[in-house]
Amino acid sequence: MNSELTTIYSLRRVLESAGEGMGMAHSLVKELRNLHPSGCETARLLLLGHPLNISLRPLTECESEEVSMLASLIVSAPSSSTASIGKNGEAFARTLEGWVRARENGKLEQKVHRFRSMITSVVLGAVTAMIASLGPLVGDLDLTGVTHPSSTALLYGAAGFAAIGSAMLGLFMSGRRFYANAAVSLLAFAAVSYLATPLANVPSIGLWGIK
Amino acid sequence: MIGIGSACAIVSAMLVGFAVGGSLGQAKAATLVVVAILVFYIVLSTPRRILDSQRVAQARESLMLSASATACLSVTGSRAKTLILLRPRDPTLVETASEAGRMVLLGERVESAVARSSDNLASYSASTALISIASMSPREFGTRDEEARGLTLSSELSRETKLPMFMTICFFTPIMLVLYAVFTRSYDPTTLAELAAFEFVAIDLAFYLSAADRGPR
Repeated sequence: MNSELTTIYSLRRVLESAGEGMGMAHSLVKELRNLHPSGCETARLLLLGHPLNISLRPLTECESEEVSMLASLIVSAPSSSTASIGKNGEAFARTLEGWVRARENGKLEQKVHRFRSMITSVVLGAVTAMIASLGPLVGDLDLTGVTHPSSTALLYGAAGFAAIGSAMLGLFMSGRRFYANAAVSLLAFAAVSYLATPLANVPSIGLWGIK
Repeated sequence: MIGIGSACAIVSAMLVGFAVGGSLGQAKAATLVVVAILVFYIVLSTPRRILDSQRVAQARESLMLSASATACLSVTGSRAKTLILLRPRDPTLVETASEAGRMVLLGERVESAVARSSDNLASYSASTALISIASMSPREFGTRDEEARGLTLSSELSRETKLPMFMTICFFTPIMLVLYAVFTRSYDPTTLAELAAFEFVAIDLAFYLSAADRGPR
């Protein structure tokens, strides 16, 4: 199970116990001592006699906003009633669980979107390679007989276009791992342009003479 | 803000004009106008986007504030003590609660202190949580995450709309530019570099416009 959800379940059990009249420190030690690593540290600090606000610091300062909020609520217990915090906190913990579950579902959707962005990058690389390889060939099929400049730079330029488009797509979808999109796009570009080389290197026939 | 937006739009249009050079031909003027308009919109909508993100954070925080205040109020029975004992985490909420507490300590009534200081809050849930302390009627906890849920839902819907748009832009812009280079026979490296710069600017603007309402991660 997700460590974030596990921590929230443990804290919810702490609040349930507190709502039933058990001491906050006692229920914290009971529920968190097996929870690695922040829970263990919290239990250790509590057993050493530190107050709640110091003992729960590993949880209040953790990356998860939901865990941090729930821990902050527990920290506020000494200034109010432990039983009341337990009663209100239980409902709060259920709401936070809902948020974490929704975020987990969002992460799964995000994975699907990342996969789609990878496919888009591959197709983008292939299509740009095809146009860059065969486009000049098709463009040269005119009857003027004029020779056109070499299109080698176009191939590099098109690779650059595909890399920029894929990298930005990757940046939008997966943040720092944008280079993966750019890499797969460039790989597809290289593969398609390699496969299209025999076609692209067909010597141009003087159509002027045929006419 | 309009002045700053206009200045940014003009400067960015000039920079883009310099970067693109003459590669876009007759379309350059129209392109620069579009770039200027988009930059102007992005600059002008920045405060709204900041406020939206603050609103999400405050709406989420208001739940904890409400649970904590309800418990504290049931024990102390004092609105003033509850207000002073509140320990929010969001910086704006911290500022609001401490300002209200300071006013209460200076002798002002809790209702007016809360009403005055909660004007700065972006989220109505956070404002309601504070006002409920002042009105001494802490409602039953557990039904107040409507705003947070609504904001998350709206952010998801906005993302669902903008994601296909951004994918389309990322997919078709490079293809169109390669086709443009092929049809105009612009095979020299300088022109291709200018087109690459234009592509980067176009997709970057689309990125900012699409990422504007992405909401909480």
